[in-house]
Amino acid sequence: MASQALTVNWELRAQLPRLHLRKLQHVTGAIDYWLALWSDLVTAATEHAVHILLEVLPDAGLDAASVDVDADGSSVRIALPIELLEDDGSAVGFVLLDLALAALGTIAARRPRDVPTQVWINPEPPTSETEPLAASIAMLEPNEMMLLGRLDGTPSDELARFHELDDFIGEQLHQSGAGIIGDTEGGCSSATWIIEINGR
Amino acid sequence: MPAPMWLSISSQVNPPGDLVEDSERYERGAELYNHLGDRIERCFDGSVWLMKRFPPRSYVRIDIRLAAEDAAVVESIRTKNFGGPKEILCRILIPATWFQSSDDALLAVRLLGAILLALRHVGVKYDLGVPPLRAPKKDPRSPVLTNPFLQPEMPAVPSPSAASAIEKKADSLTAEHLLVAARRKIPRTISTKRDRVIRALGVVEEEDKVSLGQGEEVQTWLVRLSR
Repeated sequence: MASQALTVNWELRAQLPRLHLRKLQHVTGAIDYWLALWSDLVTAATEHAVHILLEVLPDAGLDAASVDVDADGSSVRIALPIELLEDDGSAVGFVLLDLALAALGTIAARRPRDVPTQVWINPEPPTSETEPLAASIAMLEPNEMMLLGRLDGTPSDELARFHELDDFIGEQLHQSGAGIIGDTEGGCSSATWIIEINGR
Repeated sequence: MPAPMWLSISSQVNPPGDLVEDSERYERGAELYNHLGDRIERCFDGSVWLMKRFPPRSYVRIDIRLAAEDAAVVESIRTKNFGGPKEILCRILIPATWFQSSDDALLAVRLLGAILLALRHVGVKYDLGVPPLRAPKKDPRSPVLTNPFLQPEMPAVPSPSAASAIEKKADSLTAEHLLVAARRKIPRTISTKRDRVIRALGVVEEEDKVSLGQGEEVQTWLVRLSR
């Protein structure tokens, strides 16, 4: 899933107090993490690793953050006001991610790929009408189980029977401590429960 | 515990015809909106951000419209609720020309920027600052992200014979029984707990396996309720 392909590499050009430096490292680390999770988008937009030169501006004011991309899109300069590293500090992640995305967009626009990426559209909704019960069993996750109970032909009315069964299953699960009810669905003649088994 | 939902994206189903030359192209691009919303929702702790000012479970809805603009702009921001959580509705205008480039990855990166623009403006209007970026170890791991450029994995479609085998079991069920079904290939830690659940429900009278095709198998149990 999350490829560790480095899509962005950072170069810091500034002398910073250790606390500020550490904060910046945490933030660039977090952005690397999120961009790696988004590598499907990022690598589709830009074929090449992006080099970002980070500069820190003294006495510039909070709004002075900026981004520049050189003409051939091969290098990026981001300037951050030092105030962003000084305040209680949650804003810097947002600002830096925003600027990095702006740079990626600029690069992608300047260096279009030969074959543009296209969103996958399912050509047709599945037409074959399989039995709904079998289809939902086929969709069970490994940690799930499905229970099916009958509601019709019972002495009391269906709704009472439905709640009675639901209570019973909920109680047994609670006592066993092994899982929880994820979904319950009652129809006129039957009802299903999806049980999620506890992980670990 | 999944992280609470704090962001949703909406858009016009049919944008003005003078802005969209190629409606197929528009629809393909609009498929990205929810993918991108999921990504932003996961990487920022929006719930904590909104809690500074709004009731729990409040959320931002970004409504995307096309316009003859050169860059994304925020058109309006308002709040709305009828008791309970607030919806913070931010309408943004994005350049219709974004849909003229045929590259959806470029469009995706631009749209991510537009979503961040909207969030920044919401933060300014309500004095929230910007949403905090989550550290990797605070990743809630939900929503699960899927690659919008690849065909999604389709769930196994049960063969007709598997479907009828399951239907037959369901039809022969009495009120004293439950039919239980689960995947066969599962880790032992899960199967141990699964067996515990089945024992808690009642007595197994019949056990069977049904092949769904494509190597997928499910196990079924007919359980007489212990009541």
